[in-house]
Amino acid sequence: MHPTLPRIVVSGLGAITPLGFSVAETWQGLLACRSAVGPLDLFPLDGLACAQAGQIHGLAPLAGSRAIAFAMAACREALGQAQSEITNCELRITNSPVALIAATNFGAMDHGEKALTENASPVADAARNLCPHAVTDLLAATLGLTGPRATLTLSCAAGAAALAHAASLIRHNRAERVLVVGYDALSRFAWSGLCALRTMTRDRVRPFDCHRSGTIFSEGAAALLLESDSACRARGGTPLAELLGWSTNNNGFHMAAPAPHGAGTAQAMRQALACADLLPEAVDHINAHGTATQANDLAEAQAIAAVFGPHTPRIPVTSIKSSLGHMLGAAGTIEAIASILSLREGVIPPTTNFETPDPDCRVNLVANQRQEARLRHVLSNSAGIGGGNAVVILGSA
Amino acid sequence: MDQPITITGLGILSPLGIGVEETVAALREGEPALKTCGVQSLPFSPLCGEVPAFRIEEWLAAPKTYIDRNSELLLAAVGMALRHAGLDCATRDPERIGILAGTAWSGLDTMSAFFADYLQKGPRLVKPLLFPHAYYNTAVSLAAIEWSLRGPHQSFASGRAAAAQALIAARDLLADDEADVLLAGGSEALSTTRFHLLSAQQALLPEGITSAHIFDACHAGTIPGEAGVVLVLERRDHAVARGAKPLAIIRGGGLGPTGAAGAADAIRAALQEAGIAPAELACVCASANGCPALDNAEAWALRETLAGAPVPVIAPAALCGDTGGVCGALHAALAVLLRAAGNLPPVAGLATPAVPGLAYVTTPATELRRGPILVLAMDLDGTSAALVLE
Repeated sequence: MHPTLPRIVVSGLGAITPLGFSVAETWQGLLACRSAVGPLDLFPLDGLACAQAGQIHGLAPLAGSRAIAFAMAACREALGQAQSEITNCELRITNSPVALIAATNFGAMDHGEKALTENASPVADAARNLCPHAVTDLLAATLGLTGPRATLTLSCAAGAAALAHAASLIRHNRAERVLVVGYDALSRFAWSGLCALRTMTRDRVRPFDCHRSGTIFSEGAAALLLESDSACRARGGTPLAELLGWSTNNNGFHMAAPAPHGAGTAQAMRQALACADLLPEAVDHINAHGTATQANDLAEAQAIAAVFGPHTPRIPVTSIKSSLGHMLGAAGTIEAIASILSLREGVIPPTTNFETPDPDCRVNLVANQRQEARLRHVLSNSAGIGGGNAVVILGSA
Repeated sequence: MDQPITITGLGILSPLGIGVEETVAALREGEPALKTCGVQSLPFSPLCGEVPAFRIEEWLAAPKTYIDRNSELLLAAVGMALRHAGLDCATRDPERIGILAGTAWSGLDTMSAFFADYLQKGPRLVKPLLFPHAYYNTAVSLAAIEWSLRGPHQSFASGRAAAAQALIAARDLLADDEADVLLAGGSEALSTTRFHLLSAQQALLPEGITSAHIFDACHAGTIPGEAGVVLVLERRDHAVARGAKPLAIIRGGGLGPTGAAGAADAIRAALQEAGIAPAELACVCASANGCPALDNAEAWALRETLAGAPVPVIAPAALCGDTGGVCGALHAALAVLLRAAGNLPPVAGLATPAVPGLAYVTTPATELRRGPILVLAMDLDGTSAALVLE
C-alpha cells in the first residue's frame, strides 16, 4: 500500500445469524460444526420443494420487518464492541460523524411485499419499505449515525462490495468511520424466487464436494465498523484487523451463471491483491464464497488455481455456508467477520458435510474439522446474481 | 488529484427527449415536459414526466426475452453514452471498463408481476424468468453483461442520491487508477406500482393541480418522472490519448446525511474538493421536487453555503418531474448540456419562494454565465450528494 494512504482498520463486529445472536455465539457454532439449517416455518410453503432454511427464531420485527430487526441488532453489537474500549455508556463513538452503508438483496421485502399485493391498498410504511434506502435511514437515525449513508444492492456480493465502498470513502476522506452492515430476511417473495432459481438443495450444503447439489439460503445480519487507523487510535480504540485490499467487478457473462473458468472471480482476486500490494503467496487462507452449487464451486476453485498457481495446495480454504447457509446480503460481511476471527484466534472454521473430493475442485479444503493456523492475510470471496464479484483481503492489526 | 476526471460521453433519456440534441433543444425552450398519465388503480390521472417512445433494440446487440422499463432505460442510456463518447468496448480491455449505477425503486413492476403470481397461483407457480429481473441490481448487471464491462461494478439504491453517489464513487475509483473508463449514472422508471405506492404514501400531487410549485410557498407535492442517464468518465490523459474530447470535468464531490445540515455538509465538501468559492458558481442545479420538507431543507442548505452569493438556482424536476434515484445523474448531464443550451430554464410555478434569499430562476431565457455548476441530489430518507462540474 502507498505509504501516504490511510490505513483502514476494523474496530467493531456484530452479527445475528441462525447460529446465534452475537458474533461469539456464531463463531462458537461454526467451530463446533453446528448446522444452522432446519425446517422453514415462517410462512406456508404450499408444496414448495425448498423446505429447509437458516431461519432465525425469537427476534421480534422492527418497524414491521424482521430484516430491520436483524440489521439493527448487528449494528448495535458492532458499535458496542467499538465503544466498549472506552466507555459503556451511549452508542456514541465520538462526536465525529459515523457513515453507514447498508448492503442487501431484498431490503425489508418481508414487510414491503405487503405493498405489492394487487387490488389492496398498501400500507404506507410497507410501501416505504420497498425502497431499501428507507431501512438505511431508519438504522442511521435510530443509532445516531450522522455521517453520509448509502445503500448497496449487488445481490449476494453486496456485503463485500459495501466493505470495498466503505474503504474507498475512508481513503478519499469522505468519511473517517463507516459502519457497514449486510442483512437480509427470508420472505415469501424472496423464498419463492430463490426456490424457482433451482439453486437450492434438499440435501445438506456440501461446498466443493463431488456430490454437492446446491445451497440453502438463510437470514441474518453482520456488521463491521471501519475506521482510518488514525481515527481509531485517536479515540483510544483497538483495531481488530486491517482491511488491506478490496475490489468489485462483473463477470460480464450471464445473469445467473459464472464465467467460464471463474475468470471474473479470478480477476477480482487479482485486483484485490494489487490493491493490498500483496503477492498471491502472501495469502494464508481463503474464506470462499463456496455456495455448494456445481457451477459456482467449480468456477471458484478454478479461479483460485488460476490466481494462486503452485501455492494453491498450501492455502487452506473454507466455506462457512456449509454450517450457516447462504446469508444473502449478509454473506460477505459475516464471512469477513469469520476471516477476522480466524486471523485473531489462529483457527479456521471447518467446511462441514464434506465427504467426497471433487477432482475438478482442487482446493485445500478445511474439511469437517477446524484447523489451527497462524495467519497474516485472509482473502474472502463473494459473488452474486447478475455476475457481480467482490473480494476483500484482511490482515492482522 | 493528478489527472482531472472528465466526462466524455452522455446517454440521456428523459421527459425532455431522447439523446443530447433533443435535450439541448428542450432546455433552450425551458418548458415543462409533463403530461397526465392514466393509471388504472388510481381515481384520477396524475401528472408525470414520461420518457418519449424509443426503440431499445437500437442499443442492444441481440433481442432479449424480457427486460423491464427500468432496465430498458439504463441499457439505452449506456448504449447511447458509449456511442456519444466514441468508445467501442470491443476494442478495449474489458477489465478496465466498469459500470456503477443507482436507482431508488428499480424494477417495481417486475417485482409486482412476480409476486402477483405468488398470490394468485401459489409459490410453486411463480415465473423463474422474472425473479432475476426483480433484484435492485438487475439493470446495472444487465448492462455489464451486454457490453462485457468487467471492471469495477456497484449498484446503489440510496434513494434520490443513488446515481450521484455512483458518480462520486466512479470519480474516486478513476483517481485510484482502478479503471480506464467508468460508466456512471442510473435509471428510474414510471410504473403502475410506483404510482400505487406513492398514492399510498400520499406523495402524489393532488388532482387538479398542474404544477409542483417547486420552492414555492404553496409547493404542492411531487410529480413522478423517469429517466435513464449514463455519463462516461475517464481521466483526462486517457481521454486525450484516445482522441476523445472532454465535455466537462468533475471538479468535486461531497456526501452528507439528510436534512438541511446534511445537504450543507455535502455542498461544502464538494466546493472544498473543487477548490472554489460559492460566488464562482455559474448556477445550482437543485434537486427540489415540490415536497415541502425537501424543498425547504435544500433551500436552507443553499442559503447557508452560498452565503449571499447571487448564484442562479434551477430545479430540473420542474421540467421532468421527480426522477427519483437517477436525479443526480440527470442533473449532472443537464449541467453539461446547459452550456450548449446557453440559457437557464425557469422553475415553473415559482412565484413566492418559501425560503427567500436565493436567486431562483423564474424568467425564461436567463443567460448562463461562465463558471462551474453545482449539482445536487438530496433524499429526505437519509442522504445528500453534491457535485461540482465545469
